[in-house]
Amino acid sequence: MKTLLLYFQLLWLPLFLTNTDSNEYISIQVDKIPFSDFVKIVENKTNLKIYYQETWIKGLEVTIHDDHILPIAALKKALKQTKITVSEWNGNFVLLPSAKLISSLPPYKIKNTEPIPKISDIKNNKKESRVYLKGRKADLQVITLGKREQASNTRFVTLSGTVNDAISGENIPGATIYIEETKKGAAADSEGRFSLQIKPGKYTARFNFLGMEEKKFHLNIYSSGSFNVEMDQANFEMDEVIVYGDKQMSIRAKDPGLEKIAVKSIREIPMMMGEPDILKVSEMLPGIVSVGEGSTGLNVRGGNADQNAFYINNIPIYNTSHLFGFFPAFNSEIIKDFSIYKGYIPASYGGRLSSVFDITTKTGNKEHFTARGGISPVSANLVFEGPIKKDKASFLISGRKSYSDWLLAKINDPTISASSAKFSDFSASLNYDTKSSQLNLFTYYSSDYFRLADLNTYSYFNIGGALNYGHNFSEKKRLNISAVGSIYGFNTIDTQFESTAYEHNYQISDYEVRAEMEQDLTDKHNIVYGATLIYYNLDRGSVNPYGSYSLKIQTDLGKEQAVEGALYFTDNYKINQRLSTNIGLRFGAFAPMGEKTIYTYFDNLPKEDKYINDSIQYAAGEIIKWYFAPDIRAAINYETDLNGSLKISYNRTHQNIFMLNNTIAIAPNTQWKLADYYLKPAQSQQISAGIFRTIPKGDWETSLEIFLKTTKYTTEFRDGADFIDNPNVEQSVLQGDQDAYGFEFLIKRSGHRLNGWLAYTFSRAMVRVASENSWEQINQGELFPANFDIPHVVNAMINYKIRKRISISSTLTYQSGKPVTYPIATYTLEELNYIDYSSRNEYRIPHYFRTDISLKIEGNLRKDKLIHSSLLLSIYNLTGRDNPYSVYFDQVNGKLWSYQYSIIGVPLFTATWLFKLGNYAAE
Amino acid sequence: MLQNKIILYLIPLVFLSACIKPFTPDIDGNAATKIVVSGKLTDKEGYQYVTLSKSMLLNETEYESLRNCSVYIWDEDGNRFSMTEYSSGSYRVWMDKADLKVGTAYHIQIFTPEGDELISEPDIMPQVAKANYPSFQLDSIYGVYDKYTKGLQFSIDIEGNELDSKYYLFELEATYEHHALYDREWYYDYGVHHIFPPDSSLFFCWTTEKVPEIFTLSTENLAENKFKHFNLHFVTYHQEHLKFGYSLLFRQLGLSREAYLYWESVRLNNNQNASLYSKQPVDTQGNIKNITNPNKEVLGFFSASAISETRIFVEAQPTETYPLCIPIALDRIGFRNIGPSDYPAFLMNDPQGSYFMIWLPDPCVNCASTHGTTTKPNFWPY
Repeated sequence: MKTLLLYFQLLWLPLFLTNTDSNEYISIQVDKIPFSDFVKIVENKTNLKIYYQETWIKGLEVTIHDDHILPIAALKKALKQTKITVSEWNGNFVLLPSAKLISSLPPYKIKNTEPIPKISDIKNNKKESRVYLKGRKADLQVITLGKREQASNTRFVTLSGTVNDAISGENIPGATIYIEETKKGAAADSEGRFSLQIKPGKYTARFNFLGMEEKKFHLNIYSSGSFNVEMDQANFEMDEVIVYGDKQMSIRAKDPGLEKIAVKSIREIPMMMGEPDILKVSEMLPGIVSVGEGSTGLNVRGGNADQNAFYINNIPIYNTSHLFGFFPAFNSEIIKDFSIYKGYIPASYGGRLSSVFDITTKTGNKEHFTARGGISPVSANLVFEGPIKKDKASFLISGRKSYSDWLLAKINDPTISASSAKFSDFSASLNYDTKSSQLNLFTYYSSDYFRLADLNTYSYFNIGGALNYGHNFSEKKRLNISAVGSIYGFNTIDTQFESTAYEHNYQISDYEVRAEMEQDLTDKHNIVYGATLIYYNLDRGSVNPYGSYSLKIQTDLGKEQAVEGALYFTDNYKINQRLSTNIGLRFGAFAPMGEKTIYTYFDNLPKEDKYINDSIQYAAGEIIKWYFAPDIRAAINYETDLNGSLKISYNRTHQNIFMLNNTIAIAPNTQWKLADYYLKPAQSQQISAGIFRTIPKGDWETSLEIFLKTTKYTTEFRDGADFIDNPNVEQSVLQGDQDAYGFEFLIKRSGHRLNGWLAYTFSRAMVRVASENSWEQINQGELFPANFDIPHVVNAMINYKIRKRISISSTLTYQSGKPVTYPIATYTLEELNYIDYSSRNEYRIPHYFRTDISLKIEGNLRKDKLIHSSLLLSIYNLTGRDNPYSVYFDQVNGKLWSYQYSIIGVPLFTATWLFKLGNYAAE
Repeated sequence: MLQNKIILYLIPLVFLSACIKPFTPDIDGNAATKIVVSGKLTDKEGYQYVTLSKSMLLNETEYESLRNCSVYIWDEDGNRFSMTEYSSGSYRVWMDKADLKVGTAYHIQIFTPEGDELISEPDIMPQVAKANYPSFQLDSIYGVYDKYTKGLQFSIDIEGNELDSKYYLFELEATYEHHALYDREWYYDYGVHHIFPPDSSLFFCWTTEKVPEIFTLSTENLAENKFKHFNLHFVTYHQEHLKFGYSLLFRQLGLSREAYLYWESVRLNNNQNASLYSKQPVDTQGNIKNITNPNKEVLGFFSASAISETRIFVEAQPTETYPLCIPIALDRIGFRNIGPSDYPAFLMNDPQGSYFMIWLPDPCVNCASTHGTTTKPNFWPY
């Protein structure tokens, strides 16, 4: 017990006793004095503290005569006849019987052909890892690559390797290596591999990644070589940052418009009903605006909600939400990396105009089996992972299921209590790594079901699979091949009226193969090139009568097929220490194919059934039309000084698929539609420029970006048009122009007990659908604000670590009111009063303000425990403000009444319990 | 609509926290007013009516009719029917059955005193299915009086054929019986008077009023030009309408597709709902243009419709109405409570052969005090 207390003291005392002097020589002249007296003499002469127990040195006498001796040498001399060891601890000395206090890892050399010893081996040493986890300081180790005789001062050698999580063994994409002497850096790729060209010499290398402790090494480099780095979790860094740079530690080096979200942080942010939602967190970032509470849509830099691509391990996801948008379709427990490209979009991505949300999932623990999960008021989730073959192959299985029906049963209304709402999702991942190749098989499935008594039933699903293979031909050349399939479908049954009851099934599937090569030409010059081919098969389904009394006509909405191919090339070149460029070219082609009947219409008349003058038949597989899309992607990054950079980017993008949606939010029966004979692919050009600065004092980072975006052939519904019964979409949809511009400001602080960020976005998005023909106009051809034109958005997030296990977070959101079309007059027809509306979106609903708060309490931090759990208490809409989602007007007896509709008008408290096998740091 | 209903339920059932509350928008009150043309041609012989007015800005309360216009109805054969202004802004012309032919296109031409010429697109009068099979059933709705309000849901079955229009507009006219609470027997006007036998002439009344809603239906996407139980008007048990008998006249109009799209859009604009998936109000462009000043928008749609009518009668229902009549007990100063303007002030009868000192205000003894007439409609069954 006393020993335990001694250890405990040792943990704390060094914090207060730091002014010691163990390196100065002292003079000791003692003759057969008790050891305790000897200690006092040493302490008096040096201001050092020496810790030991009296029982260990009982009866020991010391005789030393030396005028020039180090304190440690004197201690060792005094204890020479005993088994007591002397250890240095923060400049003081600790005496222990038969054991040496390990205060730092021993330095060791590594041959360039062998991996360095794993940190986990050392961690398993029970003597060292006693009692509590603690954040460990970076250990300065020496790594030697090559042999001295191989060294040449004139040629560059390649420094390469992989970065892994020390506990889970997973690689860490985005981890950075930074050479202090050369001020060069590199980022690990999606497989955790890094590569750097450097001249032989002695260097200091720093490895960093958010949520991980910095690792620092001395490098003795004689020739090319590789080594593995294992990083430890920053155990007490609960205040970690959410937004961070990708390429290097500094915000100044990341691509313009690139945002990343650390999944671990999401669990600390207050969320509706306690469900961590990575997409909702992304709305806190500048330039990304939610369509509204409980809606799946996001508007990025003034783009429509369908202009964003969502990928999970390369699988496109067409519906990213559960329960119509109230919950995310992605289980945050399995997400490893989340990148959002909203400025510079690399040429390897195509098919969407505004942004790419790229999610990479965890690949399973290669070291040991583990599980984790969470329970919230509406759902429970469980993740199970482990090795199939240690260090080589692993698996990860996750599942999530709702049990929200109990809420419905509580409601005293026969319609609601007879209703049902449920969702589930499932994923499985198999991962196999060899030294030069990686193979990953990932499958994903999500489903939703909603039944409103005997009135309506909705169900929808996403299903996808991806086989991703990577091979390193050399340290400088890597091949990635993917085969991906994705299917999204929904079913609607409407039984409100027996005469019009119907059932509708819809499905879109796409299959993609992609091959990509990455090549480092020099340490400054990297190229990526590849090709992709996608086959779309879209079945808009048929509207079928439902029930024996339905008179609904069976309407076949038609099938569509198309192929999309692209060749792309990206050149990443660091011109000098300050200037770097990314130039990308992408040449895409899109072709809708038969079998299809295309109706043609009389010229200068509306596209309506009655004006059809002919039809064109296309055979199966016959190309209906070719659309070619040459795209340019470019980014220039100029580092003005050590703390700042200036970035400019230009994007030209195309989009061949869009949503058929005539509501403000994205409705659950929204259909995806391919560009076709009439509807052209949309195209967009965006130019953005930004200033990025870090302020070392206080660890602040700031950025200011401006953007200007023009879009052609954006789709808008004709007034009053619907698509549920119409197979000829060209009759319902018009195409117009969309202009967006704005600026985004971000200031954030990280690495402190109090951290967070403040983001402000000013943006405008205007639409014009003009034509010489009045029937092809919207708003008489005049410019009008897009439904999501929200000029001012302020988002703030504050996280404060109260104690090591307790943190509190709060978010604040302000948005200008959304555009709305208001009534401006009334008029009388047939003795009834009607409303005359303003031009489209001429007014705005009241602004939106919400603040949320959450408290996260971690279980104890003991290392040896079976289960670690944490409790997240959160209040959504703390002030209970009735934020308007929409406004509407009703006319009763000639008087106009206006109403405001709020979705969450009260504070919403939830408690979520999260658990995992192992201790806090376990993954 | 489908989505609206779902979300209206989804929100409370999942979160129990959605809310709708009144709100005052900040609306510019200086928009220009527009000419409104209200009227339609039907195949029913008689006067055809058109009303011309100006739209009212939200801060205006005065209805502004458009007077002294020249209004003509034209058929496709070039026959012109000149309308006369029979009251302020209201114009009419008598047309014989022979002039109102199904399959004929009609349009309206208007000359305003300001010199503008308005003209409508021709609208072809379609054939309409015979209105038949009206029905009602006890139902409940999520209402304004209570969480769920009982009442009668009126509906109609459509039984059209291929030649009939597939686009319907329904206009409803309700007639209901209502009663005073007391006969007239005692009254005071400087002195108490007795009427015997008691006067029951103002005890029974009937009110006829247009149901202030429009209903539209299209069977375009149905296999047959039929529809079972198309829900129309809902009358709650909290209204006095059902207490002593209720009759509903269904006017079923067959429209052209263009007319249907117009009425459907104004109906949707007038019946917006709270919804997660609400739609934008739509641009309701009618078929009337100002050819003198094309930039001046004209509101309204001049349509030609065939019409068919049917009627349904509902006997007295167990309503839960609140009485319009509130007797007033006269306190110690007695008849001095009643001013001469309220004479004759009727008093509650005492079956003992006298009267109580209780004043019966007009609604208690006069069923027509606020609305209605004592003339029984000829279609009233009893």
